Amino acid sequence: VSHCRRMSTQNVDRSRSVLSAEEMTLMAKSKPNGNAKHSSVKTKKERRVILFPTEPTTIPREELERAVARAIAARKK
Amino acid sequence: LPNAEYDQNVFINCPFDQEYAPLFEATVFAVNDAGFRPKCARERLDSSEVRLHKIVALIASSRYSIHDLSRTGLDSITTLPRFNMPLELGIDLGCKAYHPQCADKSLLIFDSEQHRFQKFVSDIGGQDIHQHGNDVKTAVIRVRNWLRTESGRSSIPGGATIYSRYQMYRQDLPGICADLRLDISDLAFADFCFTVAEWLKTHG
Repeated sequence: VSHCRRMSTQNVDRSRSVLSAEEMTLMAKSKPNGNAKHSSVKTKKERRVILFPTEPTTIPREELERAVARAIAARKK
Repeated sequence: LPNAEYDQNVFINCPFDQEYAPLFEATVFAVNDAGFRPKCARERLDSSEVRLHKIVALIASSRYSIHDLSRTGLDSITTLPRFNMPLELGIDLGCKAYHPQCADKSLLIFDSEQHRFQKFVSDIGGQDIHQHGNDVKTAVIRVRNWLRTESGRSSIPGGATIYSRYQMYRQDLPGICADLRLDISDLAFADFCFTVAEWLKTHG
């Protein structure tokens, strides 16, 4: 399946996050047991989640949040 | 055995010297911005652990891996080749080949120039090797495109967007480090990753 997926998506322009209708059809067809007509892969919007490291850090979370907020605010001034 | 985070982890096998740091840090950012968790040998500092055991465990717990062979050259002092990166690539290829639960692993192999790897590790001649040309933006875009294609996730932002965000993050990092009393030139991997994740969380 992964081989087929690679083969079928090799011509997709990967520099864009929004796919054309033709590319969506191509991607949907590459899913296992899927086809362009019945696949719901593209109708459901995926949500990206930012993952934090699982390893410990010495930085207290609240201090980190404040430092990031302050740095962003300083840049936007 | 693969753990619960297997599908989210991206193992990064690359040099840890100062010269390579811009590529490494940009790669970590791109992986995180794409919604994955970067993993590397620098995250665990327990000296009681055997280094190779640590690396093997990280490889087995990561579905995705980035192997950068661009610094596989002669050490300027010893004049001997640096073989750590090809060794870890070999372990990962072995894990994928022999471990049934890791057969879905996906590897991104980088080198600095096209066909260079064939001169020192010709056995991987059948693999699809990518070039970043030692350019940060190219590396970010290649990492993003690979994760987008291999994971099938439509939520991953475009390469140009990730790179643009990375430039903003770099502008903010000195202030973040100053606030936290951290040395920006000597940031621990875990601390760097926490600043990246918190910054990305704030930017949605």
